[in-house]
Parts: sequence; C-alpha cells; structure tokens
Amino acid sequence: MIAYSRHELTRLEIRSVVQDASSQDLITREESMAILMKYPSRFYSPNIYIRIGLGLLTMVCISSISSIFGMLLDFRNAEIILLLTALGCFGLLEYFIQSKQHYRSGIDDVLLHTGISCLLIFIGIQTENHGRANSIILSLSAIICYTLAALRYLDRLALIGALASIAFFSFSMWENSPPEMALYPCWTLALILSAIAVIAHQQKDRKGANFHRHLLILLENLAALGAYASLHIITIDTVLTENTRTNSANALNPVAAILYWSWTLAIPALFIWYALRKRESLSIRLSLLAILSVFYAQHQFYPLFEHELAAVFYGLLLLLAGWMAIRYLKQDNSVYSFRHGGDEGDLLGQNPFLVVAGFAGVGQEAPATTDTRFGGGSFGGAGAGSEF
Amino acid sequence: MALPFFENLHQQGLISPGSMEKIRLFYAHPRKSVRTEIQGILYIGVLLISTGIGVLVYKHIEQLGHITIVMAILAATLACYGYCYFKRPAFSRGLTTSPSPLFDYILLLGSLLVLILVGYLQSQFQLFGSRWGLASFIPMCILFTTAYFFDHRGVLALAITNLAAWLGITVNRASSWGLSELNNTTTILTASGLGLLLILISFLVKLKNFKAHFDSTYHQFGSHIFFISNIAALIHFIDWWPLWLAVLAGAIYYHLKKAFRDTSFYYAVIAILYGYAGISYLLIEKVLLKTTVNIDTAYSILFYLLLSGISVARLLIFINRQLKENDSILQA
Repeated sequence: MIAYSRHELTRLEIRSVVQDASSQDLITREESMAILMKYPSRFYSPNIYIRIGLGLLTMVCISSISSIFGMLLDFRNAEIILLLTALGCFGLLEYFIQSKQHYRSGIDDVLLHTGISCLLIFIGIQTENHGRANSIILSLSAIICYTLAALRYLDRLALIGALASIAFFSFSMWENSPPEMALYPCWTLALILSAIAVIAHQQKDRKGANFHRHLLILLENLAALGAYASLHIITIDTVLTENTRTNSANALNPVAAILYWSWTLAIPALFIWYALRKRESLSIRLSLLAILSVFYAQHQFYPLFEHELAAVFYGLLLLLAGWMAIRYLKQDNSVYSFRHGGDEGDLLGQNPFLVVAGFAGVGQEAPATTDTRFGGGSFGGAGAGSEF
Repeated sequence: MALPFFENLHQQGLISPGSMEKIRLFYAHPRKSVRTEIQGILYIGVLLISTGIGVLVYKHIEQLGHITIVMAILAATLACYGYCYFKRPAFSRGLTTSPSPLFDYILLLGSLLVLILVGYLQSQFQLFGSRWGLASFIPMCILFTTAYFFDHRGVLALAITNLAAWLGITVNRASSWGLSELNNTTTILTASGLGLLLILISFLVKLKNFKAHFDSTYHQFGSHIFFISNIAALIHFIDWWPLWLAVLAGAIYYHLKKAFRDTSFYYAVIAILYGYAGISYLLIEKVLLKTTVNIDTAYSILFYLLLSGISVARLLIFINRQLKENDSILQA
C-alpha cells in the first residue's frame, strides 16, 4: 500500500531521532554525523525552501500542460482535460516516487494534491445534474481519494482533506432537511469522528501500523477535536434554546450553565491532561488549540467584553499563562522542560523502528558508494544525504 | 523509547561513553521540551494585545477621551520598556543571551505599542504637523535603537519595515499589498535603492562586527525588496529594460554566489525564482508577443512555460545537490 520504500522510511525515522538527540545536546555533532553516515537515506527530501520552489515550478508545468490539452481540445470537454490532468499527475507522482525516490520534495506534494483536486472537480462535473446526490457522491469520492492518498503517500494534508470531506459528507446527508433536524449533521459528524478517534487510538500502537503511526496520532487528535467541536455546537444550541425558553433576560439558568461551562471547559482540560500524560508534541499542540477555542467559544456565545477588550484581556491571560509555565518549568521538578531542541524527532515516543534496530543490532552499513552526502535536507542540519 | 537503540550505537563505538551517560540520564528522568508551544502562546498573547489596543483606541476615542487613551498606551509602553530595561542583558557588540523568553515578547509588545502611540498622536493631535514623514521617522529611530540596545531581531524587522514606510514604500490592503504602488518611477527607484542599501548594511554590520548576527535580517529584506522592484522596473521602464535585465542578471549571480558561499538554500531559491519570473516576463512580452498574436503564440507561451518550468526545476535540483556537496565539505 505504501508507495515509499519501507527500508528508507525506517532510516528516516532513525535519522530524525538522532537529530533530535543532537539538537538536545545529548550527543555531539560529530557523533550525530557518524550515525547519520551509518544510516544514509536515498530519498530526495530537500530543504523546505527548495521544496517550495519545486512545488511552485511544478504548478507552472501542470498549468501549462493542462492549458495545452485544453487548447488542443478547444476547451470543449473540460472534464476530459481534468481527467487527463489527474491521471497524468498520479502517473508522474508514481514515477517520481519509484524512479527518482522523491519524498516530500515539493514535486510529489503538488502532483498529489493537484491530481486529487482535478479528479474531484471531474466527478463534480459528472454528477452536477443529480441534485442532492451530487454533494453526497462528491463527498464520498473525496473521502475515498484523500484516505487512499493518506494511506499510500503518508500525506498529512490528505488526512486533513479526508476529515474535511467527512464533515462535508455529514452536512450533505442532511441537506435541505426541515429545521427540527438542523443538528443532525453535527450528530452524524460527532458519531463518525468519535468512532474514527477510537479506531485510530487502538491502531496507532499496532505493530503493522509502524509507518502510519504519525498519521494515526494526527487522526486520533483531529477526530477527537472535531467530535468535540460538533458536540459543542449541539450543546450550545441546546443550551441557547433552553435558555430562550426559560429565561428572557439572556442569562443562563443554572442547569444550562453547568452543562455549558462543563462542556466548554472540562473537555479541553481533559484533552490537555491526556496530551500531557502522553507527552506527544502533536497532541499537546492540538490540545492547546482546544484550550484557545475556549476563549473563542466563551466570547462568541457569552461575551463579557467587546471584541477588542476581549483580545487585550485574553492576550494578557496568555502572557500570564506563559510566564507561569516558564517559572514552573524552571523549577526542574517537572517531566517537561523549557530547553532548546526536541522538535526534530520523537525521542520519548514509542519508536518501534528504533527498538527493532537497537535490539537486533542492525547497524546497517552505508553502501560503498562515494555519493553519500550530508547537509540541508528537510531534517535539519545533516539532511537526507544520498545522491541528491 | 530509543534507549536500546542508542545503547546499540554505543556498543558499535558510534557514541562516546560521555554522551551515552547523558542519554541514560535523559531517559532516567525524561523531560520533554515544550519551548515551542510556550513561545507560541506568548506570541499569540502579544498579537492579541497589540491588535486589541490598536482597535480599542480607534473605537473608543469618544468614550475614553484622548488623554486617557494616550496616558494608558504610554503607561503600558513604559511598563514594557521598564521591565526590559531592568532585565536587559549587558550590552555587547555581539549576540547576547536573552534573560528570559518573556523578555523578548514584552519587548516586542512595547515596540508595537510605540507604533500605536505615535500613530495615534499624529492622527489625533498632528504631533508632527503636516510632516508625515516624521511620524514614520521618529518610531523608526526608536525601533532601531531598541533593536540594537536590547539585541532583538524581531524589533529590527519592525524598524526596517518602518524605514521602508518612511521612504514611501507602503504595504497595505488599499494598494493591494503595495504592488499597485510599484508602477511609478520614484517608488521603483526608491525600492531598488532601499534594497541595495539594506544589503550593503548587512555587509557593514558583519565587517564592523557590530551586531553581526543582524546581517541576515537586513539581507533578507534587502534581497526581496530589490528583486521585486527589479521585476517592477522590467515591466515599467519600456525603453530601459535591457539595463534592468543586466541588473537582474547581476543580482541573480550575486545571490547564487552568496548561496554557495554560505551554503544557503534560501538565497538559491529566491535567486532562481525571481530570476525566472523576470526573464519569463521579458521573453513573453518582448519576444513572443512581439510577433503576430495568434493561436501559435499561445502555444509558444505555454510550451515555453512547460519546458522552462521543467528546466528550472532541474536546475534547482542540481543547485541543491551542489550545495549539499559544499555542505559535506564544510562539515567534514
């Protein structure tokens, strides 16, 4: 299923952990270089700037070739042009991955997402006369395309696209429903995302899911946040309806207030507790996002101040929170620290690749070629090495 | 955890006993760094406060009164600067270590408040009369002084932006982010001059070893301003385009040389992309569209874009490879 070489992916994982150790001054630069030399990667995975440049140039090329096709066909069959572009993009994507060993080079990113976009527009045009079914078919197609892309190309953006498509699908299902069913899309979405979060949680530590582990962690967190957001909308709507019915003074009745505040505050607090316990950077970042959403939700539905005053107030609150966190971390009795480094890899995570490599004594020797070079790859100082 | 992996590397002699001890200690008391996350929180906090105050002063002039607003912003600015003054590291011509992460953000907030305060005083009290240039010049001086005194690259970026504003190069939504202003001779020449000046300053700070680490900030602003104004000049100066093409070629050569010298992917990419944009414009405008415009012209342009896009991408990959070769030599 995965388009990339598993051997090379393992090496990338190993390299990222070694670079993380180096960034945290656990090993010296020379030691880091020696280890990276032992685990070279043949992927072409350039520096972020080169990646952006290659991505832009790929867009120019795709636009030109699509326009040439369009002109050859007199722009009469837009869907044919779109289909050809999509197929061309997928074909080229496979070529670049299999023959040129591209991995997040900018070219493969743009080819993948242009291909999916063209294919979805093609499906949209084909089904445009089918009324409500159009949205459902389109959203289902998007779910399938993005899911397959995420599984095969380990692409995070495709995963986010798949989740967005699920949201689109939930709303398409209940399109033009009567007002009393207005919250059904949110219920549907919450149900689906909750199921996805549970499945992702169960699957992420499975041995066979090594290469998809990062994606599954992202999926688990995003799905949980999405489910929370959907249920939050339902809660607020319920509370507001209840409030309007019982209290015209626009103040929450006690039961509704407890429901509202416990939902608004307790769930993000639960998120951050879970994330801090798991010590996963991604979970921590997304749970912080959930905490920030508390401010937004509070201000959106029960504003205490005007927008600008709220901005100043919450800004001060964030500065205070940051200051307190730094003070706490400096006491040196926490499992967290404020030291530099630690963003490159997952030194504290479960690294099945490393455990295998470590226990088995797999010190893969670099091929005897002389073209192994280091520097400037997308993984910090030493880069991907290899022939590029 | 990766401890067994590192133990294995240690057995293979790839990790020294000293480093292995550090790793064991790390895993005995594993502590995860949350520096990025806390910095993100602080940055969002500063943005919210400065944006909130910016909107507040405009919306509540009537209720609060000018004096109250001015005094409140002044007090907040002084509080920020006061905190930074007492916490500041000893002045040095080189890079200094920030006393605390909060220090950087408080200073950034104070600098943003200076801009709001001066803007407010000028718009409401005409502090500098009709000399609007002074309203940019004074905060620019304050910001440059702040950046150098407290050693803060973020404030330096604000100061450089203010310098551009003082010279009349404004970037705002009303002028489509400043691009629509790049259609007159004065602005183009000023922007080119500013770009060159900033690049020159980046050399000077390194040469004089006075805050040498500021050179990248000056250079990055200088490079972008120079390249953008150069492309604008190619479009604007109908008769003088060969001269500007030569200047563009010189800029590309210089930036590529710098990219190889400093092993910088960033400068390589901007040199190639800006160069490609400028040269493509000239080829399409001065060559392909000079002949009779028909369907063949459209095909020519599209084929040109396709083939040139592929060629430039290959060139970029080639340069990437060359830069890595240089990098390996440097690190060996």
